[in-house]
Amino acid sequence: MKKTIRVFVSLIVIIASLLLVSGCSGTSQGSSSEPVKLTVWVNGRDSFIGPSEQKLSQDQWYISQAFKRFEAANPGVTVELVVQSDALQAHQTFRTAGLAGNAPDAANLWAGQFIFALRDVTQDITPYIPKEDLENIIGWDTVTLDFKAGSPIIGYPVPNNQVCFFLYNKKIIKDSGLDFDKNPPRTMEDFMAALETIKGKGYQPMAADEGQGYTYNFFYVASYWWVQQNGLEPILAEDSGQAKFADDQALLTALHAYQDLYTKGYLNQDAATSADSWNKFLAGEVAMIPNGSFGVKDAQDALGVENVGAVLPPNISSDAVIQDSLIGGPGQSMVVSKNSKNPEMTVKLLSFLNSKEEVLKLSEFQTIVPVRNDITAEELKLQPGSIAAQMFDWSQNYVFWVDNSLSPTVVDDFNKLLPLVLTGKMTPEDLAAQLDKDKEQK
Amino acid sequence: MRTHWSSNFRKTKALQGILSVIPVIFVMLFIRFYPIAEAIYRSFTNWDGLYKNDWVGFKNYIDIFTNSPFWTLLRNSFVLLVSVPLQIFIGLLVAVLLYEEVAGWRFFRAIVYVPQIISAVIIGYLFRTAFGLDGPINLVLRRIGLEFLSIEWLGNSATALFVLVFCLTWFSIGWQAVVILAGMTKIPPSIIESASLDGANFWQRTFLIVVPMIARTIEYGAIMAIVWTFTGTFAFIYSITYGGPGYETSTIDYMIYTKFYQASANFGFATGLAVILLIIILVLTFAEMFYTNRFSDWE
Repeated sequence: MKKTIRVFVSLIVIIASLLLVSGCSGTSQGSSSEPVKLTVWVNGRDSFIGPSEQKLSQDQWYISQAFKRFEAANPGVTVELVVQSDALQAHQTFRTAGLAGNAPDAANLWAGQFIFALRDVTQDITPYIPKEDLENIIGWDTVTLDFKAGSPIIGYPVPNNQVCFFLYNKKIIKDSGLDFDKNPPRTMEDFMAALETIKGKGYQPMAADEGQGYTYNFFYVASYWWVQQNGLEPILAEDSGQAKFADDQALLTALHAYQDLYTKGYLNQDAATSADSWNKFLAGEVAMIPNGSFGVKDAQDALGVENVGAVLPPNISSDAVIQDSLIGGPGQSMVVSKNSKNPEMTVKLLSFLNSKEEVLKLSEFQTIVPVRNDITAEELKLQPGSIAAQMFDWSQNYVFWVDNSLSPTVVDDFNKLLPLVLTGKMTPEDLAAQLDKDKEQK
Repeated sequence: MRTHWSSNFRKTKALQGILSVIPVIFVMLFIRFYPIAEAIYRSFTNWDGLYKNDWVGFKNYIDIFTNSPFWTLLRNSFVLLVSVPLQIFIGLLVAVLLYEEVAGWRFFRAIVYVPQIISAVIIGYLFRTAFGLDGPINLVLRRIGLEFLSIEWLGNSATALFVLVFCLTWFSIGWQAVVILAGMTKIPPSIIESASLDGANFWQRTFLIVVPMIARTIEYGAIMAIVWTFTGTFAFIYSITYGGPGYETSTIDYMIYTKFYQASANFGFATGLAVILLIIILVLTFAEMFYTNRFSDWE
């Protein structure tokens, strides 16, 4: 009897083992046709989701439709869209998710130092990137570790290349007797004189909100005055501790210039605490505002296309190494996380989003400057003289975002202390010295 | 025999007691002491929230005390504590008025607690708007001829802190009133009535009778308010001042958030701050308990 039981148990074990082996081999054989699900985080604004799209249902957004096109072109692949409402917070959320092992396959994060700080949870995708993409897409340095050619590439630039400038209310400028279309102020002296004229007519010349935790307005425009003097290299050297911010005359000059805007009453009195400068501009209460390509559509919707103009920031000095340029570049990226089980397919998706066809489709939803060098103004159907056409021209000569080039520790403190400099409670020299201390702490 | 039985019974009861609390002790160890121990350990490292976790000794603490706005943060945290006596004082008056059932007390009992059920972010936004340069407060001041008081409230250290203290006090009065009212239920009504008959006025009844008899309740309210002011005001600060201008209204609690959740992610530094905050709260709590013990005669 015992022998019978033993034989019976042995048979069950053998059969179970055979089933297990066949099951495993079956899985292995079928792996190529297994459904693949990619999860992608996208910021709620300033990348794939434009201002006008936010009023539409999610399935009408460009990015939702692009994912559907990708799914149709790649049977078995589904892409889940997760919208991150707070772009700054998304970095920390991604870090935490990476540590927990459940980060998305791809995430839309700010390019440059912001993603370099996440190198432990992002993946080197260099081997998967098609040669054609490397040749036709600009801004690869912003997703290449430490901006160094040859280092691992950890993501794709977002197809929307942002550029920053002043948006202005044409009616107010005209009322002030100025014509920025024909005579844009190109020197600081001309710029200050124009602001004085606008102020003299009883208008608020400019508005900014610098007390909201991130000094966007400075980085949109005034940081150009910093970087244009000697280029980005000295700033990177300061950030890496090889030079001192306190010795950087270009930084001090830019800060003094920005402070002047406030002390002379050209900026709103509550610039260090306000949160409504953009609304004031849209309401036609302010002549100019530091902004960029991402604000054009909203401004035109509110003030009328014919009533919105764009003007480059003036040059800080005639001996600056960079002239008639602006801050910009692909400030956002799509990184691939280390948790991704399908990095190759994820890169395929990112490549798809950056393809010429998709970038042109995106341009139908937003006023964008493409990051591809093979798209012409005609293909984008840009009206000559329009802001979109101006942006396209200007984007050929931009300086990469200064805040994306600085390490997060420095940017954090800069954001906290700039409002004090603006309102004269701290000197630019003290701010520069503090940034050096931050580097020591790091 | 009886003694032996009694001894066994006591041992059994003691064992039962120990066994019954062991699960709770384990839970407490896990959810309370383990994170604290972990935070203390991490405060001696350069942990970045990921895989960098090298031992750096006292570097974080040295940085906190010598190369950070710590002293400004500490000052701000203590300034916000001004709201604690204010909220207890006003909460006490409200509680006594409710206890004595003044006209409309049922309505006020419901109203006074309302701020507690509103989201801190919404309250913060309302205060931010109210105290904005062109906000309703300044508009009223300009209308009534007090233009010199129509200032940028959130743009200066002193006035921004004042706004925060005002907000925290306004928010907490209801909670303090409810706690004190609950404490007052143990006071025999005859004592208050006798005092009234003997001619004690409202202030005498409140401070000479009620306060000494509910010292423990006030102690509880004070400790909770102190701890909350140190650790629970982030949402208010974030939505009213963003900790600014500069670090002028940032507190230690706020800075911990900044270091933890912003891109720089200096977690070792942040946990160092958290440990310091824990020590400050413990010291203040023990000091408060010590003084309450000395002055609580009635109990």
